[in-house]
Amino acid sequence: MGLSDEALVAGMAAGDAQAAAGFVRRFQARVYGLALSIVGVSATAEDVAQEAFTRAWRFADGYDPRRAGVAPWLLAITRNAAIDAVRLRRDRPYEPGVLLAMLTRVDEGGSRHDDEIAEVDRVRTALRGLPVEQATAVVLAIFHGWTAKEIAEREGVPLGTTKTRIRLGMSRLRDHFEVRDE
Amino acid sequence: MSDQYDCLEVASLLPELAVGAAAGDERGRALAHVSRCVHCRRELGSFAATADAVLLLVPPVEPPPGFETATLARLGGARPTGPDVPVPARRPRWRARRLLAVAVAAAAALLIALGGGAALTHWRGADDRELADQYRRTLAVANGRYLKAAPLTSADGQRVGTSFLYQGNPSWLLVTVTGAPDGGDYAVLVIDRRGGAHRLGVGQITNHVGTAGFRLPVRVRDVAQVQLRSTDDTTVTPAILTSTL
Repeated sequence: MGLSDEALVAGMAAGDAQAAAGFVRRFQARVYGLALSIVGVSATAEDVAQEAFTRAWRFADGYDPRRAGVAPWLLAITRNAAIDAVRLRRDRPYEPGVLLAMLTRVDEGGSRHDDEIAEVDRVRTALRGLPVEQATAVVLAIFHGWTAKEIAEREGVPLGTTKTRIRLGMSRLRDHFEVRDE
Repeated sequence: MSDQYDCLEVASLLPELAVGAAAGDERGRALAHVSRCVHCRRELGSFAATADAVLLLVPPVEPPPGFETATLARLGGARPTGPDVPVPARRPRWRARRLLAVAVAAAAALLIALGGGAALTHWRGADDRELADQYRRTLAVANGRYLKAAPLTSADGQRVGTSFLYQGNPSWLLVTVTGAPDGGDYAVLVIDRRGGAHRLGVGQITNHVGTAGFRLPVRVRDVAQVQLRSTDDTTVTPAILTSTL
C-alpha cells in the first residue's frame, strides 16, 4: 500500500519531509530491531537507529536500486552505525549463540513484504544448515564488526581456521541465496 | 605495492572483505585488485549482497514511544545532500600541523596552483589550459588522479572551512578550518556511501582555526561526507562540522 520503498527514498533525496516521515514509519521497527540486536542496550539502540535514519536521509540521493533493495541498504547503514557505537562505548553485545538463536528463529513477518519473507526464509534455512563454527564466525563478523584476527582470538583457534570458516560459511550462504546481480 | 594479488588470491579473501573481517595490508591490496578487476568486483558484490541479506533475519522490534517524533525532529536538523551555502569565512590565521607533512605540502602546492581548488572538470581559454596543465603536472608528481573540495559547514549551515580530498597513491584528506565555533580536539571521520564511518584521527582547533591531514582509507568517490565530531562521542550525536560531497 502507498508508495514503494524506492519512491520514499527518492522523495527523501528530493528533501520531501512527508516521504521521510513515511520512510521512518515503515522501517523503524526493522532498524531499531537490528540496532538492538547489535548493541544490546535499548537507549543506545534508539540513538543508533536515529543515526541510521539521519545517514539514510543524507545519502538518499546516492541510493542505487540496481545494487540493493531499500531494506538491505538501510540495514547495512544501521549495522555500520551500530558497530561504530559498540566500538566507541565498549558495550558488550549479545553472545553469538544468543544472536544465532534469534536469527534462526521464525518470526511472523511483521512489516516485511511478501517477497522479502521468502528471501528471509531462504537465508534462515541456509544459516541453520551451516556448521555452528562457520555460522558463529560469519555472525561475529557481520553483527559485531570483528576482524578475522579478533574472531580467532575470541574462539581460540588459528587465524587460518577462522578465515576458512568465514570463506566456507559465506560461500554456502551465497549458494542458497539467489543474489541480486547488477 | 598496491596490487600484488591476482584473482586466485583475492577470491579466497572476498568473503572476508564482504563481511568486513579482512584487515590491514591484506584488505588494502585485495581492494586494490578488486578496483581493477570486473570479475572480482562482481563476486565481491555478490558476497556483499549475501551479507546484507543476513541482516534481514533480525526480527523487527517496535521502538519506544516517541521514537518517530524524535527521529523526524533530528532529520529536520539534518541537511540532505544538496547545494552548500557559502558564507564568508573569518580571516584565516594559519597554524600548520605536521600530521601528514608530505600530503599537506603537496596539497598546498596543488591548491596554490589551482588558486583555491574548486570543481575541476572544465577548462576554458589559454589561462585555463595553462592551469589545467599545471594541475595535471602537479598531480603527476604524487601519482594523483584528481582532487575534490567541499565546503565545511557548522550545524547551522555556516561555512567554517574546506575539505580537500585527493585521489592518488596514497589518497588523503586535508581539512582546513577557518572559523570553528569552538576550539579543542575534534575527531575527523569520513562517511562512505554505504554509511560506514571511518575515523581518521584527531585534529586540533585553536582560536577557531586549524588544519589537519590524514591518509584516506576509502576511495574519494566513495566518500559521502567528512565530519568533525567531539572526541568524546563520534557516532550518535550530530556532527559538529560537516562537508557533504
